[in-house]
Amino acid sequence: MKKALTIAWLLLIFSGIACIFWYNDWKYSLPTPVPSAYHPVPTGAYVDLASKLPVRQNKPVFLHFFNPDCPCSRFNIPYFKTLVKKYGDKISFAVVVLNNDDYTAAEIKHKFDLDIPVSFDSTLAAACGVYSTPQAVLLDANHRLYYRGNYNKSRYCTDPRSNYAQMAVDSFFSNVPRPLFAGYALKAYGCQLPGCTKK
Amino acid sequence: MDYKYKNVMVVDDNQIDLYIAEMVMLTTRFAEKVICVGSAREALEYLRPLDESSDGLPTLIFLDINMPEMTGFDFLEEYRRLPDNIRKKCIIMMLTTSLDEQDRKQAEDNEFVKRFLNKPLDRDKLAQLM
Amino acid sequence: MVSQQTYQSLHDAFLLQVKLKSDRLMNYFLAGFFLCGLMLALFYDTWLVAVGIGSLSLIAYYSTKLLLPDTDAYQYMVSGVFGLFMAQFIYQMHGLFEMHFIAFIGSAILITYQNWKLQIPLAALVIVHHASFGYLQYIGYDKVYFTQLDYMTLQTFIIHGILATIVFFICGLWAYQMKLLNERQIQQTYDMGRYQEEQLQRKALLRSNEDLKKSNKELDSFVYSVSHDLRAPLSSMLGVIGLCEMREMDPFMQKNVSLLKTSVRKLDGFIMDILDYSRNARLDMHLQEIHFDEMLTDIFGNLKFMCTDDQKKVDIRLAVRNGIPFYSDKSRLSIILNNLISNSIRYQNPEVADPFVEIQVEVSETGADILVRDNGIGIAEENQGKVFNMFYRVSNKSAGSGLGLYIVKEAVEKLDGVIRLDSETGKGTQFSIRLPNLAHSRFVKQQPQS
Repeated sequence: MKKALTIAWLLLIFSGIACIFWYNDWKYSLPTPVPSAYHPVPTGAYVDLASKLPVRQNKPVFLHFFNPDCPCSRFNIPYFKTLVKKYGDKISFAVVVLNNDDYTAAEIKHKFDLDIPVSFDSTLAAACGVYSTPQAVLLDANHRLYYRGNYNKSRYCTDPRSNYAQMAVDSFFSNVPRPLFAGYALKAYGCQLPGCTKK
Repeated sequence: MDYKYKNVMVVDDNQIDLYIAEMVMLTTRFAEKVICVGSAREALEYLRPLDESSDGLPTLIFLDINMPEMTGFDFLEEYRRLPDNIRKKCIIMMLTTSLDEQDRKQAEDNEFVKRFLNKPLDRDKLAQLM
Repeated sequence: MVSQQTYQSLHDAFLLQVKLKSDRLMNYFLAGFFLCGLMLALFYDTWLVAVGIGSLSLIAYYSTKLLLPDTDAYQYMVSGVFGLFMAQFIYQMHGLFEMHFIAFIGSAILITYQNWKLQIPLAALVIVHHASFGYLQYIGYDKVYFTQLDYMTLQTFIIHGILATIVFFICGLWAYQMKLLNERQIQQTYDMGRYQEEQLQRKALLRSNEDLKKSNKELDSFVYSVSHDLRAPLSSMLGVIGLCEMREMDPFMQKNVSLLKTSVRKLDGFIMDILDYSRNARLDMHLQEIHFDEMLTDIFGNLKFMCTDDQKKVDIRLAVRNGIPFYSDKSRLSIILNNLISNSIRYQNPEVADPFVEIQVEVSETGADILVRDNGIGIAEENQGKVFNMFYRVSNKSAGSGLGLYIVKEAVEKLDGVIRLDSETGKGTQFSIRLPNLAHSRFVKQQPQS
């Protein structure tokens, strides 16, 4: 009798554990809700960076929208670093910090262990049509929007086959026509702006 | 009157047994003179100053085994140390109530002991010795 | 049966110790795992998972322990919980490959229970977890965070599987070896305990043996000195009586003296019978070759003066046939013959002209047949069964102590022999004794009593 009771109780617990895992997964799979005052910025649109970032003209710019409080952003750090290492000479990389707390540029650079320009201008997000972090924005030499979207298929995915940001950069340089990105790439997930209330 | 022996010594710690031995020996004319001593020590003291020509030297010594302080066997040990001339003359008989085989054997093994007798001494036993 | 229980209880006590110690350690390890989960939550804010799954795992473990305390089901639960924690950590770090090592840590921890079977739930969970999620990721199901590295090929998976299995196997092996080692130790401890017990018992036995020997010896010397001290005055009395008899006495005195003599003799005989009895009962057997002629001559020498004055001298006839060496206990045999012959002399028939006692001895390889025959007054048939009883006397006019034949029977039995009585009142009595030749008996090797 006791055995049966114990087994029932244990099954209950295990189903509880399974539920938690499942729930968490579901939460991760949700995309970021689109804010009400959102203006979509289409590809090819010009993004004016002049006043906001010390970047050179006539060079493609890669903007990394980052929030230090966002776990997805934090997860992303090493991956962004590989991108910078790979393409740092061809593209100007910059980090745009979207956060309400005060972080200094030095701190951000320390987090990435990279010496790249850091901006705290949140208007850049609206200019690029970004409403979550982390997001990748690739501007061509004329600062026109080439790609704005997720780094990968889901928040914590690292599958190289769906490495959208990488693919965008590759296609940019190989002069093939821009690939058609699926919804996964464009439907932003990640933390909301500005506070990362929803994970 | 003829006595078998002139001098006979009886060594026994029991007064009554000494008395019995003396009476029997004198009555049966076994001995002319019976020297009674109450302990082995006294016996040795008596014997020591004598020599073969002494008048008081006993021909026979009846020796009780069980005596306090010095037993019959202890006496035999000391007797061995006495001068030869005395020992040649004396013959020792062990007297005892003991039924112990070992006592008998020990007595018979001793070179000075001629016989092993059971108490009480009486006429018939003495007759055997004559 | 008692020894079996003691081993079992030693075994169980030890197992219990192992269990308690391991359970205590588990408390610490599980707490550590839970805290690790909380620390990992800091990385990617996976608090729900850390707290929720961590505490549910711990609840699962402790509730199993509480509900089924007498089985080791909860130990298997620990194994499973380690697997769960591994899955949890992998999830929390979103596939960080290094988290897989948690499984190995768990496997090593389980060695403390000294039960290789505990590896099984952990191994199963790990394999199922890896296989299913690896497969899901492989087919592209994106809602799974398994590894940050390139997707796991089948080859990688197999290699990892084999290596992991090897680690689990080795941990199981050590657990098993530890158990064997400890069982050997328990066996040794138990054997040592038993050996010590045996030693103690042996010591106690030796001691009691020594005590017995000592008290025996004391009894021996006690009997010896008592009998001696009892007999000395009696011999003096006999001596004095002898002196009286050497003188002519009036009939009145003569009769009195004679009565005195009889009584003293009786008392003396009784003391000697007690001595004989004591010696027969407790002395060790001391075997030597028996020379019957010699022995009988000695006995006659002692008994020569035994007759009372109104009795005739008894003729003693010997017929000894020797040849083969006969081994037996000399003192006991001497006691037997002494008693029988003195009985024949004492109980002679006054109406017979020539009282005699005849002793026939025939020695063979197997034993000796001894016959003691007389023409005395004989024993009535109704009494023949009783004569061997202790203190039995035919009438109060009998001179004996009543111990004589009893001692004879005891001594015959001690020598492994048999005795038979044939008698007819007025005609005579015959005792036939058969004694085995103890030449080849184990007693021959014994040392003489010192």
